[in-house]
Formats: sequence, structure tokens, C-alpha cells
Amino acid sequence: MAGEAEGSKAAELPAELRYMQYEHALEKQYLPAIRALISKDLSEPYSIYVYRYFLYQWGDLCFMALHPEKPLLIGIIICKLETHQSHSPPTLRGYIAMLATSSSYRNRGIATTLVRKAIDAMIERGADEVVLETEENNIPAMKLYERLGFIRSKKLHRYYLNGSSAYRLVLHLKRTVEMTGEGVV
Amino acid sequence: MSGNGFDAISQDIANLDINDGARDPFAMWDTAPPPAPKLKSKGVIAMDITEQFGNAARQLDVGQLVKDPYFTLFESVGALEIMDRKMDSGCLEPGETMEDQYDFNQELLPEEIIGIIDQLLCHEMAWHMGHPLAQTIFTSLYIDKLLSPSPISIQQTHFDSRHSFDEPLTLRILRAYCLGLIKTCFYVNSRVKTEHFYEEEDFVTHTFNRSLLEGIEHNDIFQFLDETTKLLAESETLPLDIKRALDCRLQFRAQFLNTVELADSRTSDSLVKQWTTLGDFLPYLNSSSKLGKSVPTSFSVKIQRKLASTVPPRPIVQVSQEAAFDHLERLCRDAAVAVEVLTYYDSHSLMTFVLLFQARKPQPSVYVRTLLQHYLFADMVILGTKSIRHILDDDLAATVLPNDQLLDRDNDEIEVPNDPRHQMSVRMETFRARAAGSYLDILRTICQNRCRIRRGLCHTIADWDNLQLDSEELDVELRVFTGEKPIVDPEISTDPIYSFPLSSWAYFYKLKQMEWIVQMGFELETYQPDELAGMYWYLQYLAKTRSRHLERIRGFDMRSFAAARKNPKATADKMRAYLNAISFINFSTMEASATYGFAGALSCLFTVLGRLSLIKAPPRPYSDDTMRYEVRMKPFSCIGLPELIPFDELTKVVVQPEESTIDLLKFAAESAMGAKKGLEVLSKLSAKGAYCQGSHDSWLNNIKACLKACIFTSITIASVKKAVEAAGKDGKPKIKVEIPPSEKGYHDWWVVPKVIPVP
Repeated sequence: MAGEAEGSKAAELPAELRYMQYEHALEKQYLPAIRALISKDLSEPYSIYVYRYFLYQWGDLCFMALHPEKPLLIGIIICKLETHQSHSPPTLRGYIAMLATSSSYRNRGIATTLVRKAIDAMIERGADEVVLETEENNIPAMKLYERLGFIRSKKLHRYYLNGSSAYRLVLHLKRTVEMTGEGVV
Repeated sequence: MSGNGFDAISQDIANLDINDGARDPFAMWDTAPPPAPKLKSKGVIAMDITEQFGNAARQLDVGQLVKDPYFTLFESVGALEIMDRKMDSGCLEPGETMEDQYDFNQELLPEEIIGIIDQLLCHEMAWHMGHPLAQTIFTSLYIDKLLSPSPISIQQTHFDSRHSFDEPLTLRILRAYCLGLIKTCFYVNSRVKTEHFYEEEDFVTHTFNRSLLEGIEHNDIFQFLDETTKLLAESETLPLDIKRALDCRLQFRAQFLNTVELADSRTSDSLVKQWTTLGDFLPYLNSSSKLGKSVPTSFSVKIQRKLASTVPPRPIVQVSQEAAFDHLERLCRDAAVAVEVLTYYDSHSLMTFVLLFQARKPQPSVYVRTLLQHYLFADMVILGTKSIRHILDDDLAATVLPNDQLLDRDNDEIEVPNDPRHQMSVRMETFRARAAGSYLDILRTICQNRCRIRRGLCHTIADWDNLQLDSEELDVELRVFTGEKPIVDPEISTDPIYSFPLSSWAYFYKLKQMEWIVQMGFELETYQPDELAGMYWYLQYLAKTRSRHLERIRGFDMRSFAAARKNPKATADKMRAYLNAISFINFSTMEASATYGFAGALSCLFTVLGRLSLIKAPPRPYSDDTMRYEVRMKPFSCIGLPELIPFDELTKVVVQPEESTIDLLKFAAESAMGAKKGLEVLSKLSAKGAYCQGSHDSWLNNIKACLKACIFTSITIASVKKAVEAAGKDGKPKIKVEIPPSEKGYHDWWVVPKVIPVP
């Protein structure tokens, strides 16, 4: 789904960022900012239903990067984790749906930290693999994931509405023989 | 509800904070909720559940998700938000009207007609490039007027009813052009829809519930264009250059319409001429475009509201005139080449033709690719003249069964069950029924877009593995009836050796497709730099396996040939069949050995670059080499033969720790030199000898591109060697390495690193 756009001018960041796991009770406070941050990079917006689809079901796989002092959302990652059935044997597959950082805070490893937190949470829940799509021209995003261990499994022709193609990136968290398709509840 | 009430609601929703929880669900209505609809349907009793619904809704948290377990992400993405202008097609700005106020009675300048026509051509090409009609041609108000309501005669197509008696020539020209345009789209859309393609990914065939003039006969439209051209010729009021530009547009449209109508025919000899004639219109069409004057008000994004669609209105697609003409020019050129597939030479040349045609750059447009599929497969008659059996038997004869009794059509006539010929015929039919689909799937798959070719092959490769196993059983059964005498050679094996022709054939194609999967991976830039040594090693392993397998096939072909030569009754025709199969085996062996030589050289070179830390692997804290190997080799994990090499073994043969760096580079240089010689020999082959009849030029270009990449590889190897030898005590060569992106190299399948000296 949505990727991360390339960086621009940097802003001053006085201290350590706060990273927070999302939960449903935080919707009122943060959902408008989450939507705003992600929609910025999209030509066509997702309806609120899409956000709730993820956040209500997998809030624990969503992490926010917040300004140390102000109530300001700087980065966000939204994921899901489900048993993937389309081929045998089934796998418990994590999916990174959206990742965004505020343009003035790029190149500081915020997105990498968010991805790591999401993967760690998935591992804790017994995930077998993690997949995502990223736009073919989004080199920074591809580098980020590849540094963590993802590889490109296939290219998807004209995957996005704007006509550009995507790569499917895959990270196995276990040997294939050890994949059960079931996680820790 | 009054208009004001509507505005009030929109304002209310704009102010609505998603976080406001308990709230009267009907608070946004000034007055009472609207009355319940009166349903008139048997067995259905309507009742007002407003209160129950309101109560139930109040039990929910804001943001609490209500859905059944089968509601997927895909479906959730389809959800729309009412009154969000990017999602809601009915959402109006204050004072905005639902429809456009356009005066169809207004006279247009002839220059404006040119402007509209040229804009429509850009939209038509945008549609060909994969954008929906709704964002392209259907944004024209004139096209909208023409198609809605759907006309069934030319008389019903006036832009304004007042024109029935007195239509200005300019509007008549525009109307004729639009009719021709939509009918052209009808043919293109029907062709694409009939073949295998991916909706939205490749092309959007959706017509939003509009008919593309299905109700009006082709000839009526063609004739109308023709009559309009004559009317224009009689006109004496138009400036000469304008008149000529309009005339060119009408004639171009008539030619385009005629060409796409004829293009479906697989017998027409004039097809190439049709496409080249169409292409001949383009230079003047393009250069006279400057006479046009655009009429932006005659296009509107709003028309999408009237179309049957689930997606909100999207912006009008803007394709530049340059891009549009470029696309159209290529379309004409590619379509003219595609027609040449209809001349059949042999099954191997046919496959080469399709492979190379699809590899043209940029890849031929979807319409042309579906035309090619139509020529190949329509009505299950290959190229309109050959049965699938004909092609399949040709292919078997030219590889594993030259002049063989198994392919003797006379066997079909034998009805005595205990006659071996009857048994052979029955089993060969079983084989064909099993293999034909898989064989045609190769051709069908390589007609898809480049990404889908690789994905398709990754799926079908498992089927070929099974086909090989199934064929092996048939091979064993058939031995009883053919009375095949095995080769007994204690030097090779203590067991008798049989030919296994059918499974040999399947194995040959399986290996070929496995090579393509790896090669397409290079083309699509699927591999990271530190994967290249391993992937080229795998490619050389597959090509070498194919070469050995061909060696085996050649042995049996030679044996049958030798036996046949002893028969004084053998005809020259029969001898030719043997020579043809052996010649193909030799060609494929040569090609395989060039591939494995080249791939082996690159594998060693990348291994050295890894050793010298000139290519570095990222840290990858969440992954290990084995887990990544499993992701990478997933398409091959189910393949029985050749068995997937375990990761540790592969690492050892790729990394070659016992070899010195200089020795590795020496080997790489020799291997590249061998490949170069092989490619040079290949480049001198005739079309017949290279099994590329009908596409020799493309084939030669392809071989020459490989040759250039190979020479460049030798140069890189030499530079690395020189730098390694010149390195100081720290052993660090003074070079850095760049890996060019796929389309920047000499050949997409050969990733050749570039070495740059550093101080």
C-alpha cells in the first residue's frame, strides 16, 4: 500500500523521540493526525474505514513516533498479521500496509525504528514472514527494507493507480519447515 | 429537502469530528428524518427500524469495526466517504452544478475542430496505454452526447437536434470523426477482452455501461466518414491548409477503423500494408496539429458522475501529443511485425518469434500483444491453419522423435486393439492431451507483460515437473509397443539405457523455462548486488544441465539416424527429418554453452567483487542467508529434477574458498572468452540454422547485444585483475564498482559491473 516519500529539508529535533504503540483508546487523539500524515503522500485518499480496518484489528502492530515535547505525530507504521492461505502450507503473514514520516524529519532512522518495532511485535506473535509492496522508484524505502533483510520476490506491473510498478518485498522470519501458519494469541 | 438543507448537511459533516462519540444520529437533519420508502414487493413488509438502529449504533464505540470475518482488506479499500470531495462523486462546491452547461449548438471554428480531434487522439492513446475510458475519451462532452442515449443509427447521432436539417460542416466533420473513433475503440476493446490480459494492470476494458456503437453497422460509419470527406472536398470557404489538415484527420480515422476491423483476420495478405498505410498518415497529422485551437471547455471531469462506476471521479489523464504520437507510431510498427507470425516455418522459430517480439523495447502495446495472441490461438487453431497436434508433433519431431513411428499418423487408422500401432496411437493421444495445454501455456505466458511473464513461469514450472513425471510413465509403457532396444554400455551404466523421448522433451522445456525465470529476474532487477554471484552460478548450472541433457538426446537421435541410413528404402525426406532434429539439438547446445560460459564468468567476477568488499551485503539483522535463499528459490523448491541445491553446497561452489582471487579471475576470463567465441559462431548462423525464421533480424540484434555485454565483461575482468595485481600491501585494489540499472546495460539479462579507478 502506501510507501514513504523521499526526504526534504530537515527540522530541528531537540531530544529523543517518543515511540508509542497504538491502541483503540488513542483513536480520538491521534487518528486525524495519522490520516493527515499518510494522505500527504497519496494521490487518492483512503477512507476512514481503511484506517479503522487496520487499527481496530491490529492496533498493537501500529507504532507512532511522537515529538518529545509537543503532541506532534512525526512517524507512523500500520500493519496487519493474518494466516495466509492461498498456497500451501499456510503461513502467518505480517503485512506492512502504511509507513510515513513527516518530511522535515527524514533521514534520521525514524522509519527504520518504526519498522523494527512492528517486526518485533510480529515476531512476538509468532509471525512466519513479513511482506509489503513498495513503489519501484522509491529507492530510500527499498534500501530501508533491504538493510533489514527483505528481498524482492517479484515485480508487480502497474500496481499503483498512478501507473507505476511495485516490488513485493519478503522477509522470512523462520525456516520454511518451521512455519506453522499459526501464531501466539 | 430544499437545496439549502443540502448545503447545511454538507457543512455539518465537514465540521463533524470523528471523535464525537454519543450523538444523536439524526442531529444533522433540521427536521424529522425522511419518510420510509414505500416498498412494493411480495412477501416484503417494510418497517421503520430507525429507533432500533439508533439504539444499536449508540452501543458502539467510535471507530469500533463491525464486519463479518470474510470482509477483506481489498473490500475495505473500496469504501467511500460521503461528502469527501475526493471520494464522493456527488459532492458539489457551493454554486456548482451536477452537469456541465455546454452549448452543443454553438458553431466551432475549423481550427477548433482540429484541436478537439487532436485532443481525442491523445485520449485514445492514453486509453491504449492503460488508462480508463472514463478519464480519457469519455471526458469529451461531444462523445458523451454521441453515446448517451445509445444510438442505433447515424441519424440519431447529432450533437444538437437542430442540426438534423442544417448541420454546419465543421460539426459534421467532428461527428464523423467521433463515430469512427468510438467504433475503432469497439474493435480494440473486443480484441483485448477476448484474450488473456490483466484488467487495470494492462488495460481497462470497462465501458461504464456505455455501448461503443455496437448498434451501428461498421459500413454505415465507414461510409459516413467517406461522404464527409467528399463534402469537405467540395467546400470552398475553408483555407487550404485547414482543409488539408481536416481531410487528413478524416482519412486517418477511416484507415484506422478499417485496419482494426481487418486486423482480426488471419488470412488477409494486406494486413502489413494496412498498418504501414496507417503509419504513413502520422507525420502530417502531427505537423498539422499546430493549426489546431484547443477547446478545453468541451472536456469535463464531471461526466464521470453519469457513468456506471464504483470509483469516485478521477482527474482527466493528460498525455502529451508527443507521447501519443510516439505510442501510435510504435503501435503501427509493432502490429505490422506481429502479422508476420502468421507465416509458419517450424515450431522452434515460432517460439523464438514470440519471445523476441515480446522483448521489443518498449514492449508492444496491449492491443498488439492481444492481436498476437489472437493470431496464435484463436479458435484453438494455431495461426489459423495448424492444429495444435501439428505444432506439437513438429516440435517432438524436431527434438526427440525425428521420423519416429510414434508420430506416424497412419497409426490412428488401426483399430485392432492388440496391434502395437493402435496402442501407440492411444498413448500418444493421452500424451498430447496432457502436454498440449502446458506447451501452449508457454506461448500464452510469454505474451503477457514482462512482470507477468516471470510470475507466470514461476507458477507453470511446477506443472512441467509433473508433466515430465507423467510422460516418464508413458515412455515406459510405450517401450513395449515400439520394441525399443536399449543402449547397453557397461562404461556408462550397468543398467540398459532407454531414450525416454516424451519425458526428455518435457525436461528440455522445463530447464529452458527455469533459465528464463532466472534471466527475467535480472531483467526486472529482482536481485540485490550480493545475490548476483549466486544467481549467475544458478543460471550456468541450469544451462549446463540442459547442455548435458541435449547430449543425451543427441545420442539417441544419432542412433536412430544411423539405423535409418542402413535402410535402403529410406527417402531423402526422412533423412532430412533426422538432420533437422540433430541440427536443432546442436544449435540449442551451442546456445546453452554460450549461456553457461557467460554466466560462469559473471558468477566468478561477482564472487571476487564480494571478496574484495567492492560489493557489500547489507547488515540484515532480521534475516539469515538460508532464509533468504528459501525466499529466492521458492519457485524451484517444488522441482524434483534438477533438485534444488542445498544452501551450504551452493555457497561452497559459488564462493570457492580454496581458489585464489587471481585464479578465479583467470577462470572468469577464460569462461568469458569461450562464451564470446560461442556467441560469434551463433551470430553467423542463418535464420534456418538459428531456428529464428521470420525474426532473424531481432534474433541477430539480441545475439549482438549479448556479445557486447560479453566483451564488456572481459574488459571488466581484466581491469579487476590488473587492480588486484597492482594492489599495495593492504591488498586493497584502487577501484570501485557500479552496477548499471537493467535498461542501461547492453543486454537486460546480463548485468555487467562497471569498474572505476579511485585514487
